[in-house]
Amino acid sequence: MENIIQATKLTKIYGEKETSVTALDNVDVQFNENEFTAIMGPSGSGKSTLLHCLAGLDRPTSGQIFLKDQDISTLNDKQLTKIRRDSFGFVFQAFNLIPTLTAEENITLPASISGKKPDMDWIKQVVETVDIGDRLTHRPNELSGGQQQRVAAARAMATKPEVIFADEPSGNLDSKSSKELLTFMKSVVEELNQTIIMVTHDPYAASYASRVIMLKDGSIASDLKEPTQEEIVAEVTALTNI
Amino acid sequence: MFGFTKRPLFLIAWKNLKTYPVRIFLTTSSIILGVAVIIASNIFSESNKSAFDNLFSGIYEGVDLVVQPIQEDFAQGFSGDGGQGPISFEVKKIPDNRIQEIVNLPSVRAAWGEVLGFAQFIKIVDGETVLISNGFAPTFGAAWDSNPYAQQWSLVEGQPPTNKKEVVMDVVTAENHNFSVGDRVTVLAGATPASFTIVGIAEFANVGAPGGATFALFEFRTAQALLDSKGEVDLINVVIENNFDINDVKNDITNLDSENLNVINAQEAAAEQADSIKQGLDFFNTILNVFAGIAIFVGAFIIQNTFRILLLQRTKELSLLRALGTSKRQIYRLVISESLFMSIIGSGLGIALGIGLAVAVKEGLQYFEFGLPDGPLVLTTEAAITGLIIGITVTIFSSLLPARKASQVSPMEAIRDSVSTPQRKSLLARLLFGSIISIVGFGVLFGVLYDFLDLPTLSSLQQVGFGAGVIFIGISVVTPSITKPFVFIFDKIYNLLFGILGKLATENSKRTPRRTASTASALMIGLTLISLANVITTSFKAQAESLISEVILADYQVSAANVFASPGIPTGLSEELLQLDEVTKLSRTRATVVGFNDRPLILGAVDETVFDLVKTDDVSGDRKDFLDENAIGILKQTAEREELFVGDEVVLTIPEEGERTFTVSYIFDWTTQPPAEFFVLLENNSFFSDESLDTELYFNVDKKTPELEEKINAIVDEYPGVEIRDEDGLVEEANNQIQLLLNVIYGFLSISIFVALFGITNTLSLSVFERTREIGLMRAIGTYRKQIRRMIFIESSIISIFGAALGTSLGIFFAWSLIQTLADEGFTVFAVSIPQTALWIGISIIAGVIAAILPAIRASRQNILEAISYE
Repeated sequence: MENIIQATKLTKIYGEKETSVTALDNVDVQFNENEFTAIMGPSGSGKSTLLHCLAGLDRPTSGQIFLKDQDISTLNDKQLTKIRRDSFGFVFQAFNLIPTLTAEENITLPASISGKKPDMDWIKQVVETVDIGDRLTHRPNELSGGQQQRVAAARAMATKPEVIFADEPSGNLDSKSSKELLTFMKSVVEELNQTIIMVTHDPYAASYASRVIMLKDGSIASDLKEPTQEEIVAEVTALTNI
Repeated sequence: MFGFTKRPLFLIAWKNLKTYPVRIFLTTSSIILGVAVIIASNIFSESNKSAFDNLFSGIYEGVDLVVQPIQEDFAQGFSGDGGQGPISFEVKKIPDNRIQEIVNLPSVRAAWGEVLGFAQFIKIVDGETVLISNGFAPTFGAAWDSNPYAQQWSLVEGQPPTNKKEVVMDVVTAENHNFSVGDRVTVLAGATPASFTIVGIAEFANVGAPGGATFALFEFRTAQALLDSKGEVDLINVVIENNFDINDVKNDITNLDSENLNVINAQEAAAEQADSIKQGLDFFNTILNVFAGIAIFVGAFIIQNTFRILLLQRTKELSLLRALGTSKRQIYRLVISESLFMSIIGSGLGIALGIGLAVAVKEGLQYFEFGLPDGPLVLTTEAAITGLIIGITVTIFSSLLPARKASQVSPMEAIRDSVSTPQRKSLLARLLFGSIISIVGFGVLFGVLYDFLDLPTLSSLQQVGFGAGVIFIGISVVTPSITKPFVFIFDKIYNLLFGILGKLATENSKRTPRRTASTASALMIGLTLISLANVITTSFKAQAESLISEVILADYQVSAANVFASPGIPTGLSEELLQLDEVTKLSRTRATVVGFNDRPLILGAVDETVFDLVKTDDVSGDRKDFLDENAIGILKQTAEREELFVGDEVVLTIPEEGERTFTVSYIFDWTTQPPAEFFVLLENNSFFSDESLDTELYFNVDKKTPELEEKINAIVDEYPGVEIRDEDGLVEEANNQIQLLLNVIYGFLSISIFVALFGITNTLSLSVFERTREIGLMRAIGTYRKQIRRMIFIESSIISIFGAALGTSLGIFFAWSLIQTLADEGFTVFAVSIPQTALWIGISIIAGVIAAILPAIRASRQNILEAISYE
């Protein structure tokens, strides 16, 4: 598997001097193409900060981030915005959709703002996979929470991004919708050859991933390949108990 | 230390304001402007009043009594008739030997005569003669008062005039036109210009020159000769001896010639004259106050809107207070006390700005040489208090509804996470209610226009105004419910023009129709008035144009450039023009005041050709009979008033001629401003042929060419004070006057647009605030900052186009109604200037974009993580 995005000596410190908090402490990590990776860790472990830095939403204090061969940690706001638009997709915990736009308009939004024509064949395929074909003309407030998240996932994929970042995508969903979304995300990686990096605190959600990275106090505590849900729970418990 | 206060809410209110000074500014910006205009207009008029008081007491400084000639009945009757175009009539004066008689009275210490007439300075610029005057102010010539008791004029430099080649110039004219002692200057007095040496520069009663008038001061005898007062003076100023009663002296003088002399108390006269001018200024002040009222009215809209916005942003804070046990009532009072603080600060700033504005206006008028008497700026306590009260009242009233709404906030809001959006009430009630009001307004308006409605005690103009006001209120109520359909028009166009950003912007405007509408309403008010003024003046211009081309058949019209400065056109000009082969037809017009039935009346003399050069309509009698000796033509209105018919005999008292009898042979309508009421043929009446001045000339040429124009101009240029105009010139002249008025109105109305700008800024700020997450999300998925800014600009343009479109349509409609009402007065032309309308809509859109700059920058700098993070 190809290495698609990697961080070297990634450090993020919030605040100044006495009140400063080290969210990420010299983290070295690589993510592979066509893989579903979950980042886990207790609150304050730095998992969200890692995701934000990788995705170009936040700037590291030091260290580098490479998207393939390109160092994106030195880019200016405009260049970074373009990377987010063309190379990344995003699914957040909530408020993923623009309330005034229909589901379809939300899905094609990244293409619209780049002024490009969306690849409709691809989008049709994505929409079929997420099973929201009959809700396309509805606005977000007419969709259920699960449907909203699936629309968000479809939007994240619509531009065939290199990496999709998901920040607690199932955090606000009931267990049924949660299962549907995660199943879909897994199938997207397996069948449509996408790459997903997901932050979660939920071992069940993480169990859909093929790789689970555990963070504690801003450093990587463990890196599990194809773990079962039981293995993950054990690892989380072990980390919390230390 | 924990402070304890009995009035915690008052303290919170005060701390809130101290912490957020920008809030104060946003909320009070409109009140500051409104109060500023009130204060400025008040200072301006008060200062002018006090300056005029000083001026008139200055005129009579050191004078106890003023001796005036009693004018003959008909001359006085005539002056009450109002100006009827260029005329010359005899004003009675006082023989100058009377001065000595008055001085000889034991009760009189000193007396001197005043000679006043019209004279105008002329300067040569690049070989062209330029008549010097300040706008519409008159140009005077007067005698230099050499009497030691005379204190009106004092020399700033140089000497008094001592011979007929010397002149003293007023200091304002000297400064404005760069004249100094020793210069030569040409002065036009009577018909012939002459050259003088400036021997002195003088100041009038410490104000430079009164009311922007220019003054040429001559040696006494020279003044008498030049100003048509040989052996006479216009009035006599008298200083009495200390030990005499003023009323006794008054009688002494009157007894010299009680039939011809009228003696008045100088101080009373000063007060009277100052009062009459002050009344004129009061009118000006009223107009300024109307504009201030408009600014305040627009301001009230904006304050209310801003309060809503600010309180919505503080929902959490207020709800926390509620959760901690603050009652609804207390929240209500908290908000009201905040608005009280703000209103005091805002009104205070308004007063300060008003003073600044008054200074600016004064400087501005001085820059344009619009002569008003100089003097210190006066801010009366009453004005300051009025401004304060209006500012505070309007602010507090505007905050009542928002405060009530804020007090309804649920304590639960503090715990909820999301930014709350206002609940949507149905707009149907509004639509119905507003429509009913509008329909009533339209009903009244059309009812009056089409004569099936007549409200008691109101003129039809007032009724139409009432209808328009009702329509305006109705439309204001309806606007929120028509926001969506209106914005719908933008959907497709903006989608096409701006893609997804256009779509987002239109959707956002539709999301809060009330807010969009009330923001647009503020702009609507200004635009309604602007387009009303615009259409009315455009129509008047068009009317003037069609009228002029209809009634002036002559290719050229010659008249005195300044009717104050020169009584007419030297007859030599018409003779020279007639010598040109190209001049095909020429008519002279002369006029004099005659007595008819013991009343003054203007008798005009014309050439036969006048009927081909000016449009006249036959009423009765025959134009041919008018050519007979002793024939007289009469204007239709005069014939009706005097009940004269063709064949009647009229007896006229002609100055220096005595009584003459004429036979009415022709009654006609003179379609322009008539130069006289009775007309005779010039060549039949020798007393007219002897006159050396024409009042007007009309003439035709065989073909208008630039060469001929040059030739004619060369001839006319030899006669300073005479002006030649062709049809375009007449139209242009009429248009210039209207445009000047329009520009002044535009200037004042721009203030209301300026106030509306703050409203747009506030609304967009709130819109941005409410969409923190949305904008953060858009940034996260790759929207450029530039694109976010563009989206806000597009949104702003929707608001401003909405306001401008509504306002412009209403204004045009109101203007149309107004012109319909004036149809009976002869206003028939309704014209809309497309370029000017487009210009103002353009200005509104640009203003909207400017107002959006701050919110747009704020939106584009939104921190993405803050917007998408959840704790």
